[in-house]
Amino acid sequence: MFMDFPLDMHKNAMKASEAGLCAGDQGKFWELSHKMFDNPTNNPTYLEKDNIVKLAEELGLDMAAFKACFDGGKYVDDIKKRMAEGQSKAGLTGTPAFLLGYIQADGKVKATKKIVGAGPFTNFKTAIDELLSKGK
Amino acid sequence: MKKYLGCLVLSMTLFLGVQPVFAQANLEYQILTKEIQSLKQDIQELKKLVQGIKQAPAGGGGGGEFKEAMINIKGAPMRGDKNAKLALLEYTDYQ
Repeated sequence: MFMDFPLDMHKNAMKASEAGLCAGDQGKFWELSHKMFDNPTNNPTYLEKDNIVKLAEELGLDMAAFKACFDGGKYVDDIKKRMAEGQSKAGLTGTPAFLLGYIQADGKVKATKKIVGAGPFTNFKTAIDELLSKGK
Repeated sequence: MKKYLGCLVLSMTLFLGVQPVFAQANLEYQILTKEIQSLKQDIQELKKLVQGIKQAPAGGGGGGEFKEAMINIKGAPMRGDKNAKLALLEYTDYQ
């Protein structure tokens, strides 16, 4: 699951997170997300608002709907709530960070493992195997 | 007398000739001592760094103690089987 955690130090991160979720309204979250991460020349203006709109256009989105969502800040509160929950409940302060846990009947996740940073595959495998071997 | 004088001159010559060598060796010793101290400090810092990496496997923030948290995932983009037993939540941002 993709949990937006736009850090203040990354000046375009919040608008990019919003854009991803707005594209998700049209079933294109992952497509836009991949495009926003794919900045091969490390262009510092790549995630500025105008370029994000251009990336969204390339995906053939309904731009009127996208812009209404993007400019209207439809997902700002959701993103802030998600961040606040990660910070207060799991002590998250940076990205990437991962929580691993059991999906509950009410749709929440009971996270019991935290992995901080882009660690090696074995870190994830060990945690997943451990949880799979246990109950809920 | 001449013999003693000769010995004295020879001793003085040797003493004065060897003195710069000792001074050079002393200087080198001091430099080496400083370098060793610096290396020891570097090793200590590396040990601390390794310890930190062990505690927080791959950098990033918030690697402290964690037991359990109930996380709301409503609206979060997901991939995979909705009926899976486990979920991996990736907290990330674009930069």
